[in-house]
Amino acid sequence: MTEVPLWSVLVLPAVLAVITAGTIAFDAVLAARATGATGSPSQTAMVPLREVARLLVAQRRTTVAADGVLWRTGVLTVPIAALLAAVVLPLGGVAVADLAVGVVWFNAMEILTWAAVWMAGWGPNSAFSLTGGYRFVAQGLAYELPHMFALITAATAAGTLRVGGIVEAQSGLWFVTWMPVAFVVYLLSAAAMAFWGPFDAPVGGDLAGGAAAELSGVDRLAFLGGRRLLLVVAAAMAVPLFLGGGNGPLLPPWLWTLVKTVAVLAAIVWLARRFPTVRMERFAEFAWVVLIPLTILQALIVALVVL
Amino acid sequence: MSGFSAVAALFGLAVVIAAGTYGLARLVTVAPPATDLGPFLSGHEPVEHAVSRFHVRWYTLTMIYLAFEMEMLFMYPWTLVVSSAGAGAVIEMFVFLGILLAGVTYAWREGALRWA
Amino acid sequence: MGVTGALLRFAAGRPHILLLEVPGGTAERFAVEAELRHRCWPAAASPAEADILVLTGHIGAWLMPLVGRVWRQMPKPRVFVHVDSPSDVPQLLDEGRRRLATGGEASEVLDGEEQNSGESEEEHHDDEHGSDADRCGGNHDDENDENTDGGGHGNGHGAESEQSGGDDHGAEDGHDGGHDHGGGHDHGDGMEMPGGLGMADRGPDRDGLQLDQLHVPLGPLLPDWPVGLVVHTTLQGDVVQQARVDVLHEDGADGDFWNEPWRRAAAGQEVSRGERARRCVAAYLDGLARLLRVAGWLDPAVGAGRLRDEVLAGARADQVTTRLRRLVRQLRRARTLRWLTDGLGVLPFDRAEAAGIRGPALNASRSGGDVTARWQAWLAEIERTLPEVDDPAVLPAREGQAQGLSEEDPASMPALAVLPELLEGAELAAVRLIVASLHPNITTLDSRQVTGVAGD
Repeated sequence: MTEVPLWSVLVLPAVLAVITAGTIAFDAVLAARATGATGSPSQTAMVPLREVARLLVAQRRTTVAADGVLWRTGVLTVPIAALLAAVVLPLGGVAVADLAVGVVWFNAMEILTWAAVWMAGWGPNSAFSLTGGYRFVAQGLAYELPHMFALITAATAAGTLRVGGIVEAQSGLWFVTWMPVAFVVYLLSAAAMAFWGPFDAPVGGDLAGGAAAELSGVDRLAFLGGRRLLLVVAAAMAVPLFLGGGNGPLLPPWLWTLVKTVAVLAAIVWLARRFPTVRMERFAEFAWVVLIPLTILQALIVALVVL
Repeated sequence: MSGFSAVAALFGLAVVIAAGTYGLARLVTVAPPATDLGPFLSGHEPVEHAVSRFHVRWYTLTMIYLAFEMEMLFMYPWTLVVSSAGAGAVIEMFVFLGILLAGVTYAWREGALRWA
Repeated sequence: MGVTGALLRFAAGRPHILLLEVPGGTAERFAVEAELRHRCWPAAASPAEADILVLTGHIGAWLMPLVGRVWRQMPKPRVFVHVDSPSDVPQLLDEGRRRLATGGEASEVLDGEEQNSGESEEEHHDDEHGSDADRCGGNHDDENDENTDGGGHGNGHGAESEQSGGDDHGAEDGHDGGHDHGGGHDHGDGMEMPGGLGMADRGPDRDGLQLDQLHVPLGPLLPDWPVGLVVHTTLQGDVVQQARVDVLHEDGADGDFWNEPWRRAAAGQEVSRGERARRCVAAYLDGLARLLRVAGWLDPAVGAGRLRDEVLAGARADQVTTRLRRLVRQLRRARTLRWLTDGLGVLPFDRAEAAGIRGPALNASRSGGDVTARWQAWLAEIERTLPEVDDPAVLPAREGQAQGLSEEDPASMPALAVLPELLEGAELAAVRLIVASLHPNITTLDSRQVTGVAGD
């Protein structure tokens, strides 16, 4: 395990915050394009900042007989788990902590959102929130196993659970070329774990915002900001797992990592707007009958190759 | 600094950022928190607490999920040894997965994966 | 608070709007939606998310406390905007933003409500339980009912409520009022249940289990919900066990927006066929936009809304045809949307015919009768009607009288009659889609009739 400088702990949140703001701005650009309005670029760049300012000044609120502790714990767990999941992300060659069990660590942190969203949904004692929270648990049951098989496939090919090791194993051929199924499933689950469209049923408009229905002010900022952060981290993880990490010609590794991360994010955000919200009562069947066998097959092929 | 001490440092930083944000919000917010608001029910008042024994209709799915989740506990360490342990490890793991998939097929036929 | 002021001004550049429509506010809602699209202001899904509450339509006595409740659920800074006329929308929104930038404030319409809640909040913060107990010790129901009606409007509205709402609404109103303030004040009174609410009761489920039941009303103040519709659901988990349909009918609301050409023709005015066709196309596009929003597919929903506004504004057929066909083609090819709406809310042909459903909804019940069939029938109807929008021929007055709602409106009242049976056993997401796919157009109906048909 290599020593990493202290500054990386400080740099990581800053870099992630900038990318997260960029994601929000890009989504706002796409939304503006759909309306036909031509918002000026400077206005669009302001969107994430305005949102933060709006939620900072807005009043917080609690509902009648709310379970405040549970509610706030859930809300704060989303951003904190997202940030902790990011410790294993290598930026170029440097990760905050290139843990020997990096892939498992990422998986464990990301799965904390199950509890977090459910708690955020249960806390306010509101029917819409409660339903939203349960929707996310159902969603987890559908996306998580294909997601874990995708993670395991990449780890099997590299013979290690260390994210840095997985990147090194791709110095020749990127994993995406010979495990495309795992990559596509990973992208699906990245959107699903951040309950981003088309997997946004837990905070869907049909439930008046679902798990986020009763959140205002800084609580809303933490929950929905954390959700976007999680999307960024999940998308960024696709780069070391499948896209060769910092490997690439000409540019320095850290820049390659950033370029690939931004490309993956842009693809996810763009694709999210191309589909209506997927309900788990339909998707679970697809996930279990199609995605799980496919990812197991993919894992089998990879296991046979590395033998 | 290495490994989990870096994780601990980042966790500390995350808590500091969260506390700082909440503190900042407390300073600049226009009003103290509104308490005891009714939940949003299209303008109506609630007649009972929303927290209740929620009727989830995916119990069966949860059970199959648990079976797979146990399997995952074995599969993570398996990835580390598969190339050294050889064909035996691959056969054992995928026969196990095949058995689990048979269970999924049965559950699917019984309609457990679609609950509308 | 210089920093707060600066942040407020900055944040007010992109406020989140909770847009709610009540009877009589259709044209105004379109104007607001167009303006929001133009400004790229996002729509809020719930009061907690909203900065500005924009209400279109006539707020009568029965709605007043509901609007007040939604208003109190909004976090400060908040602004209330009531739109009376489509042409005022840009100024009203500008003013709303200006007020938001300076910290928001009490609304004029809801003044009574706001003062009331402001008082109770202050008490709550300043002297904790002391004066709370004084105020609420006795028969707080009476006292608070007075407060709800608030100074100026009080008596007049109370009387109106009795007349317009009928027994049904009157009773419910009183009931709600009691609960409302009970929930807010009883805090320190040593009530046994937290918040003055009981726990959910149990009832038998379709599998023979005893499960908790929640009573969740949907509408009238719900975004993307048919105007004036209230569905009282009994939920177990997110499954509807029972649904009761109620309709909000306020005196003083103008005639319905959608059948205006027919009404004018019936009144002897010259109305062209093109004008009628425009309303038809716009009605289906509006239904489509709502369905797509409920389905969580915002971009085509925005597209449908834009086309609707252009058609209503008098765009020639050749100006919109290309884009309209592109939208129709996109939706026909949308396999995901079909997959998600297939098999929901199946309305068999005999049932539809017996209930008196006509138009595309009846056609849809010939080809499956589910939500998919219904939105596809709208697409067909849009394509069929579009070429007529420039037809200058005058609509005969007789046709206006005879047809009434028939063609452009997917048979409103029968839709409500079949609604409870379609909703029972559906989960909440499906409920929203089924209701949107039936596109019940309610404002033209008399409430008592409908309650008679659908109530149980």
